[in-house]
Amino acid sequence: MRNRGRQYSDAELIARLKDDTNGLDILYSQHRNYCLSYLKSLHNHHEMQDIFHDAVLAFYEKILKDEVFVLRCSIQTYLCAVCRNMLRERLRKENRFVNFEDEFEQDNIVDVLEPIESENSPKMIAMHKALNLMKETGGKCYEILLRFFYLKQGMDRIAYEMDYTNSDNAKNQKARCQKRLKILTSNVLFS
Amino acid sequence: MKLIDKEIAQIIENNLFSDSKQKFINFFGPEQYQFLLHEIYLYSVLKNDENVLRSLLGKANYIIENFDTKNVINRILKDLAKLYFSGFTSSDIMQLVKAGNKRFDLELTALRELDFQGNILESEPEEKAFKSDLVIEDDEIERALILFERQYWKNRFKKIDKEFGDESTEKARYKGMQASYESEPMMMEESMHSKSQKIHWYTRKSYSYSKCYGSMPPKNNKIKIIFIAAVLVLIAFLLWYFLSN
Repeated sequence: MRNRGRQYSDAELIARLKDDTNGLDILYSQHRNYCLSYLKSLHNHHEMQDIFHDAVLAFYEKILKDEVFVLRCSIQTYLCAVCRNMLRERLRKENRFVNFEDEFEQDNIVDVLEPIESENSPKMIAMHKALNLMKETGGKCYEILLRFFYLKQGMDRIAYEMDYTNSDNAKNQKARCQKRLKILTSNVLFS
Repeated sequence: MKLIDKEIAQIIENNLFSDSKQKFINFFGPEQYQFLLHEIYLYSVLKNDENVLRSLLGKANYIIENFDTKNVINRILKDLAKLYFSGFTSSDIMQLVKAGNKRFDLELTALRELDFQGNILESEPEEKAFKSDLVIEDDEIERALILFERQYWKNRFKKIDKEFGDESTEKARYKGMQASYESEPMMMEESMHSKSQKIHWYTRKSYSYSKCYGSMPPKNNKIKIIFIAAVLVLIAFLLWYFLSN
């Protein structure tokens, strides 16, 4: 089992999330049991784990992308509140309504995972394969695209963190990687 | 090259730059060499055709081996890298090298018919032309990356879920609860300012505990031991009393 020996404080966890991706595994393992128990106490939904996955990702994206975001409660409270909102949303979509009266209600946390419609178009599937290839084979292309498009980092920051001499170099590299993604996608799509 | 497929890596190492690897590294540096191998690997994964790969590697090898002045090699390899970078068709390689210097025409004619071992090829392997009319907008890349990353993490979470599956649920819940208590002080330090709020938080804690477990926390073990010892002493006394009478 992961991280059995040690419990990380919230500040440590956030620092790890920003520094390396392993932090998300720790965060997930550490808060999983409590949040699932909490969700179960609200409603025994068959997709509880999926809801918790989404909640953790919502928090992760918030921490990494939103520079003005300040956590005003513990991570656990935040996750539970997001879980509750997501559960409510799912029940609403299933035309079921449950009124939750619980201790996290007053925290008024409304963040949910930014909705991205899952596209099953051949182009999107080909892009997924191309991204997978890029990621599996290493190199900087996946990382630079991830930083720019997913994490919304500026070129200056990308140049600094990825050891480019200046932002123009990073910009050129990003353009090349975009072109390469296009080629890979095209090859997957038409092969 | 940490993730490269062993078999493909072996083919690349054995064929491309087998003799001229050092020459390449001297001119372009080890990073550029790794980059080229990386690109070739991507290509071979996509094409999944060893013959095509071998043919390409052979041609590359031949070009590098046969032109030894720095400027010429520099230009050819740049062109070659560009080609590897943008689609990898062997006919494209020929055209670009050709465009670089007309002097190579004669050699290129021979080159077209040689494989990496110098054997004459009967026919050029067929390759699908690169479709350049594909348009990918920035927001499509963004969407694809978001979906890809989320899927990646969800798969990872599922693996962690499986690891948790071995643990008994009650024990796991208790551990989760403990973790939550340990992280609680930070929240209190950050957001609690008045005494009344602190009291409120303690109330919330015990409330959420009883809500999750259906009962209050287990009592102190010392009390249990004292209670059991007292019962045993009482039983012993009663036995002694009845037996002695």
